[in-house]
Amino acid sequence: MTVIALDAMGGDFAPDDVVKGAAWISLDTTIDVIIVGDEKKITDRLKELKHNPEHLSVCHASQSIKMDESPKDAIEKKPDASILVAARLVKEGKAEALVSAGNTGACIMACAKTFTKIPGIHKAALASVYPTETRRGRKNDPFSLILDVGATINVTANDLVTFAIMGSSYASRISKNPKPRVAILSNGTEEIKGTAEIVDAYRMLKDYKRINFVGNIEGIDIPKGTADVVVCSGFTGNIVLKMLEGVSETVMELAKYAYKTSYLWKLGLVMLRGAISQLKDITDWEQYGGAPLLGFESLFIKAHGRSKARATANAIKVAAKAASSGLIKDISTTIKDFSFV
Amino acid sequence: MEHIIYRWDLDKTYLRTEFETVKGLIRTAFQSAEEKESVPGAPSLLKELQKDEANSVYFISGSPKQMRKVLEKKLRIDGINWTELVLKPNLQNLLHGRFHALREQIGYKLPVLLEDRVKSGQRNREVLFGDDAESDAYIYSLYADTIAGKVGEGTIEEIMDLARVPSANRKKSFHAVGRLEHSDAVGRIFIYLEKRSPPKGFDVYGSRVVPIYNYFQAVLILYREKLMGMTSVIRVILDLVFEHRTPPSVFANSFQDLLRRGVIDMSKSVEIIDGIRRNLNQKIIPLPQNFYEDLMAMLDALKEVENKDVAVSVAEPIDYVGLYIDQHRKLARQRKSMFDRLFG
Repeated sequence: MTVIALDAMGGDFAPDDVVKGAAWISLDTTIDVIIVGDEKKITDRLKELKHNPEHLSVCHASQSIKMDESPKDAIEKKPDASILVAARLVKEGKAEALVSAGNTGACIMACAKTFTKIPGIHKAALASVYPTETRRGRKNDPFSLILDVGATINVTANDLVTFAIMGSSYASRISKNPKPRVAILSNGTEEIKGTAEIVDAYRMLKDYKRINFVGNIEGIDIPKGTADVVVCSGFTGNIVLKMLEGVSETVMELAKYAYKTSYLWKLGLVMLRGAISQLKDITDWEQYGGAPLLGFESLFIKAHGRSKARATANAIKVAAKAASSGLIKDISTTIKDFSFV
Repeated sequence: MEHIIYRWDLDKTYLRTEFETVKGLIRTAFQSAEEKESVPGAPSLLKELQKDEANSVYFISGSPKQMRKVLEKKLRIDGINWTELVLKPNLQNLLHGRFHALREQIGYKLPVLLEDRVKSGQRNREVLFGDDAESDAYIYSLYADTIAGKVGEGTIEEIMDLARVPSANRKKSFHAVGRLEHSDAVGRIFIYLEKRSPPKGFDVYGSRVVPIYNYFQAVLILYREKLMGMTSVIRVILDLVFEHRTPPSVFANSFQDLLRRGVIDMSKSVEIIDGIRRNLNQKIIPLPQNFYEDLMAMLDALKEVENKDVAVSVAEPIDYVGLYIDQHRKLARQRKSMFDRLFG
């Protein structure tokens, strides 16, 4: 039975929707969830919901960190914040993974403060999935993984290498893609293209056989799905991710505009409604669950700040899957092996 | 210990029954006694309650009288003794064209309960067990308040009008009401949340009604109220561990749920945890590996739970007529959605 610590106070719709997500999980799965936060608010909310308390427990935390608070100050001044209490539960072995939809900076800092890094890894990476035109793995998955998307702004070549190893492990364990293609995001496919860190990382990865390194890719390759795992700095990754979200939203807005503008276009869109609905499903972030923060000996899944019950429930499922998949052990073994090489 | 009457509903309270689907309905009707499943912990709890021979167990079920043989056999297989098993005369209802009475529960259960109260000696305290499938919390509360003299004949008549209760059943009810000795005889009404209904929905009935998610929770409350000894608590725990492979986390989480809802207070919970520690440790039967250590660690952690004050009495008088109207609307919606699911 997997136990997940859930930060009930993080996110735009916390605690009501976060608790609702945990309630759904308690009815549909055998995952045990420790809901961390204001005990009274959580209990009052649970009383309003269908749930199974046999799989739920509540751990009181007297403080919480708001979405717009300065992460550094909040982590320092609020030792009993729900995210810190939840992280400690994971660290102490009372839970196997942590899930939060709260302030991203505060979440990362809470993990950095509480968790131990995997030996050989200097910087953590936040990974996110995005839809592509290619299908991959046993599940015919349309998603590629990109990391880092914001945890580490400045990276070294070593960091990029460890990101590649972590991303490859995650894709093979979670997306069931046995040999994911790993690439570095650069401004050209040639070995010599990119910053000094990118060039060095390319050199270090090209002869390493435990991961399927396919070289550099350019921005144009991202939506095509040329690589299953895209490695970059947190600064670049964050811009790419936000741009992908922006493009998706703009396409939907354009479709709405076209629907209103001309009857002919309206008819065309009606005829295309099946395809549009599929596109909406693929780009629906609520079904992805959340983004894993990789590099620590403990697992953290960052759910979207706008997560409602469904997204929270999916984030818990992803966390449980990652916890029972042997992901951390796999990353540790590969990093050790790479250090030896 | 006092002598208590325990009244149990059968379907969904004692027996795992599914009548939300056509398949489930047919299966329930044709299941043999051996195929029928009890709710985990219910038989062991009942057996413990019966250890005091002066206590008695009454079953009142919405199942038709034609199922008596199978149901009695099932109870005998489980080792349960009973004073009375009342079943619904649905064939008679059908033959007399009383189609409404086929699914209506108040007009069936209330007269039976009241008549039985008059018949079985009016000094006994009662503990009632029902579920969240239909209207057990409502009927049991109405029964409890009628015995206590808090509900008058006028209110009962109004409810029976709304429920379109046949005149014969009305007569039985009023005849019994006239002979009642008023007392707060019903101490506790347990509602087993088979459908996992939100517990808040039962707040309207006050703290006498306790929604429970499993029978371990019932055992804890019965122990708290001195209706059961620690040895019995341990026997039910062992049954849940060995017969149903219940892990330590389920016990700890269920206990925490009662603490958070304020059903059990912290001082009593410390006493219960220490009792479990002493008695479970002395058991000759070997527990699963690490079970005892894990369970005790989890139960000890409960001492940190922020416990609310325990409410003990019904604060406000219950508006049974208003509640009936609300519930009837809700049930009608549920039945419609069930019908849509089955045939839509």
